[in-house]
Amino acid sequence: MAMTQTGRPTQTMGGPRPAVSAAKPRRKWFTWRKSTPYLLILPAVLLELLIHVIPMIVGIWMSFIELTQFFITNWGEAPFSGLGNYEIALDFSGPLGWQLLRSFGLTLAFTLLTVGISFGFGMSAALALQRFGRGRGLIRTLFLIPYALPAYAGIITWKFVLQRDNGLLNELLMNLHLTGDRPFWLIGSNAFVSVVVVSIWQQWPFAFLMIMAGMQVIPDDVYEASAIDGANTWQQVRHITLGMMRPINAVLVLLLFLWTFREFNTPFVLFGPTPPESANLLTAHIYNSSFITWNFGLGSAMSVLLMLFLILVAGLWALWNRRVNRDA
Amino acid sequence: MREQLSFRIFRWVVLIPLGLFTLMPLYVMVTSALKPLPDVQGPFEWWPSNLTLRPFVDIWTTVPLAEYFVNSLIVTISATVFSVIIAIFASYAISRYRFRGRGAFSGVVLSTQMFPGVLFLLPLFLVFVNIDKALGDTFLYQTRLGLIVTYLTFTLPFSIWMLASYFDGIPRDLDESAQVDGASAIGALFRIILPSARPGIVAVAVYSFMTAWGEILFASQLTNSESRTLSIGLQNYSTEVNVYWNQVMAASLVVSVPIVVGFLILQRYLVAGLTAGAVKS
Amino acid sequence: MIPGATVNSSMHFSFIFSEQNGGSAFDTSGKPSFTSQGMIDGVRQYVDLLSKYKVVNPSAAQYSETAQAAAEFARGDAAMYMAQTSAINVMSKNGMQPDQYGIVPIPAPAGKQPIGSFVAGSNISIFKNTKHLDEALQFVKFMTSAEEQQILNKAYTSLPAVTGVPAAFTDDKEKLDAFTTILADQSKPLPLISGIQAFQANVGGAVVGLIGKAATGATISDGDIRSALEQAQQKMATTK
Repeated sequence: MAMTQTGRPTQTMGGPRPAVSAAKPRRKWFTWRKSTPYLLILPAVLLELLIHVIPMIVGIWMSFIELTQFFITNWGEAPFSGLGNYEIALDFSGPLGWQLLRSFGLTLAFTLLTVGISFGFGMSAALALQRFGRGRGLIRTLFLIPYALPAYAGIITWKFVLQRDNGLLNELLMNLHLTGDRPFWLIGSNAFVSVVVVSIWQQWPFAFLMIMAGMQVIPDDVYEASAIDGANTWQQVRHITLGMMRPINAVLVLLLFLWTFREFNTPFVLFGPTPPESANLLTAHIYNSSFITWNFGLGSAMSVLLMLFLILVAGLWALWNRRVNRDA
Repeated sequence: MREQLSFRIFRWVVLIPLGLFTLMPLYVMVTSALKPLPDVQGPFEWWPSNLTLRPFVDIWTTVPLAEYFVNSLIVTISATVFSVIIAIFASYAISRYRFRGRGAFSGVVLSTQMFPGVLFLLPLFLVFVNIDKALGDTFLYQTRLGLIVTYLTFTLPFSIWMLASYFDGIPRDLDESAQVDGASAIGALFRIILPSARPGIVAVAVYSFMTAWGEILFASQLTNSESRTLSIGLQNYSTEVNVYWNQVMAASLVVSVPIVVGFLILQRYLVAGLTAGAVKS
Repeated sequence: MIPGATVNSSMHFSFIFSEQNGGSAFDTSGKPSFTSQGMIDGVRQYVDLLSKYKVVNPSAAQYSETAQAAAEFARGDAAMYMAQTSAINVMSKNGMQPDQYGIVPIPAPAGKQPIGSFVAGSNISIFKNTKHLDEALQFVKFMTSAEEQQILNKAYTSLPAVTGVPAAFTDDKEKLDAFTTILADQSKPLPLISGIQAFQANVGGAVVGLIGKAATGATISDGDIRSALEQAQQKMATTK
C-alpha cells in the first residue's frame, strides 16, 4: 500500500520550534500541534466507522446466527448457530458447497481474464495515443463512453447484442459466414465468454484513464535521452514507460482485481437471477443461494469467506510489492 | 521520439478494433432508442425501419425521469464535494504528519476495499433506521442525505490514497516557507498545497462523482420513490408487465450526454491530475 | 413460447405439469418431495416441449424476463404462449389487440389430470412478535376489503382473493370468464408452506438449468431431471 512512507525526514510531532513560538505559551501550542492530525482525520474516521466498519462487524456477526425471514424483524431471537452457516457453505459434498467451490474457481478465472485483458487494452490504447496529435481528446472521450453510461443500460444492450436469433453478434457472424449455426451466447458454455467480454467492455476505459494519467508524468527528456542513446520505441516502452509506472500499475491491478472479483451487476443483468453453470460467478451464486431465500445468515457467511479470500490476495500483493520495492 | 513504422502500425491495430468494440453497443443503444417498442426485440435490422423520436418524449412521463435526474445530481454532487474535502484533510494528515495510529488508519481505509457490499447492506440499513428512531425523524433511511453520507464514505479510501500520494509529491519546503511566514499548518494547506494539487483534486472529484452516479446496490435499498436516483430509476422502465427497452436506451443516452461532455472538457485537468499524484508514491 | 430462463415461471409450469401427472411437490407433512415420480414427469413434460417436441424455440432459454417471451408472441413469432392474467396487459402494450388472440386453459395430455393453473398470489403476513397487532390486523382487513380488492386487482390484472368480489381486470367478458373458469375448475393451490420462496428459487432454478442444457442441444435424461431436483431438495434443507 502506497501510504507507508520510507525515509521521509520527520518534521512534525512534538518538539518546540525555536524562535517563532517564543511568544506563545508552550504547552498550549504543543497540544494544538499534536492534535491537528487527529482532528484532520476525524471526519473520515467517524464516517468510516459509521458506514463501513460498524455495519461490517454487524454483518460478520450475522454470519453466526440463523437469520432468516422469520427473525428478520427480531434479531434477538435468531438462534445462534456458531459456525453452522459456514459448515453449510463449505460442505463440499452437498450441492451448495460444491457449487461454491466451482463458483470460486470460475470467478477467479473470470477476474484474471477481465483484469488482465482490460489492463492490456488500457495500456495499449494509452501507448497508442501518445503523441497522437489532434483528435486525441475526441478518441479519449470516445473510449471513456462506456464508463459514462449507466451500467444497467450498457449490460442490457449487450444482452440484446448476444441474443441468438435477433442479436447483432450472430447477425454479423452469419453475414461474414464465420459460423454455420447460430450459437448461444447467453446460455451454455459460451456464457462465460460473454460475461468476460461484457466486463472488459465496461472496465477497460477506467484502466485506460488511470494508465494514461500515470504515463503523462514521465518527462519527455527521459525519452529523448534514451533516444539519443539509441533506444527504439519498443525499448523505450519497456524500460521507461512500464518501468516508471510500476508503482501505479501495481496498485491499479490490485484494485481492479478486488473490484472485479466482487462483480455482481454484470452477471445478474445479463443472465437474470439464475446464471448458466459456466458463468455462475461468486456474488451471483451467493445471492442465489441465500439472499433470494431470505437466508441472510448463510449469505453473510459466504460473503465473509469471500472477504477473507480478498484479504489474502491483498496480503500476498503487499508482500510481493514490498519485495519488489526493496529490490528496485 | 522518432516514430518507427512498427509503432505506427501498432497504433492503428490497437485503436481501430478498440474503437469498434466500444462503439458497437453504443450503436445498438442509439438505434434501439429510435425504434418503437415491438421492433426492439424483433428481427435484427441494421437501420430501424420505423424511425421514431417518440421514446425520447415518453421517457419523461413513463417514469419521473426528471426527478431521478435531480436526485442523482444532488446526491452525487454533494457526496463528491464532501468526499473531496474530507479526503483532503485526511490525506494532508497522512502525508504531512507522523502520528500514532497512522498506519492503522491507512490499513483500515485500505481494508474497506475488500468488503463485499451485500455483507454490510442490511446492517447499514439497521444503523440508519436506529439513528432515525433515536433522532425522531427520517433523516437517513431512504433519504438523499443517507445516500450522500454512504457514497461519500465509499469514495473516501481511494481518494485518500490518491491525494496522500499526490501531496507527498509536493515538496515540504513549500510548507515550511509558508509556516515561517507565520501561517499555521492549516493555512499552509490552503494557501500552498491546494493550488498545486488542483489537478489531483479534479481527478479524485471525477472518480467520486462517477462512483456515486452509477452506484446501484445501496441505492436499491436506501431510496424510496422520493429520493430515487437514476441508476435505480432506470430499472423502473422494466415493470412486471412490460419492459420499455427503447425508453431505457433513450433515457440512458440522455442522462449520459452531460457526463460525456464533462469528460471532454475536463480531460485535460484529469489526465494531468491523476498523473503526478499517483506516480510519486 | 415460454420464458425459459425465468425462475418463477419455471417453477409455475413445473408445478402445473407435475400436478397434471399426479405428483406433488411436498408431501402431507410438508417435507419436499421433489423426486417423486409425478414431479419428475411434470418437469420432463415441460422440458420436452423444447427438447423432444421442439415446439418451443430454443432461444426461449435466454429469456430471463416474461416480457421477452410475451413480445415474441405479440410479434407473431410464436403461436401459443403460456402466461398469467397479466398477459392481457402485456399484449396490448406490445401492440396486440384482444381480438387478435384467444385464451384457453393449459391443456393436459390425454389421460392426465386437467390442471391448467395454480392458485397463488401476493402474500400478506403478520409477525408474531409485532408490537402493533391491532394496526396490523386493521391493515389486513383493509387489504382484503371488497373495495380495495377491486382497485388492486384492476391494477395488477389479477383475480380477487376474496369471495364476493367479481373479476374485473378487463372489459372483455369472454376473457374474464375464461380465467374465472380456470380458477374454479382447473387449478391447484401452491403449497402453503413457509419455504415457498425457497421452493421457487430452488426448483425454478433447477428447471431453468435443465432448459438451458436442452436448448444447447444436450439430451435430458430422466436421471438428469432426478438429480437436478434432488439437488434442489437438498438446498431446501439449508433454509430453515
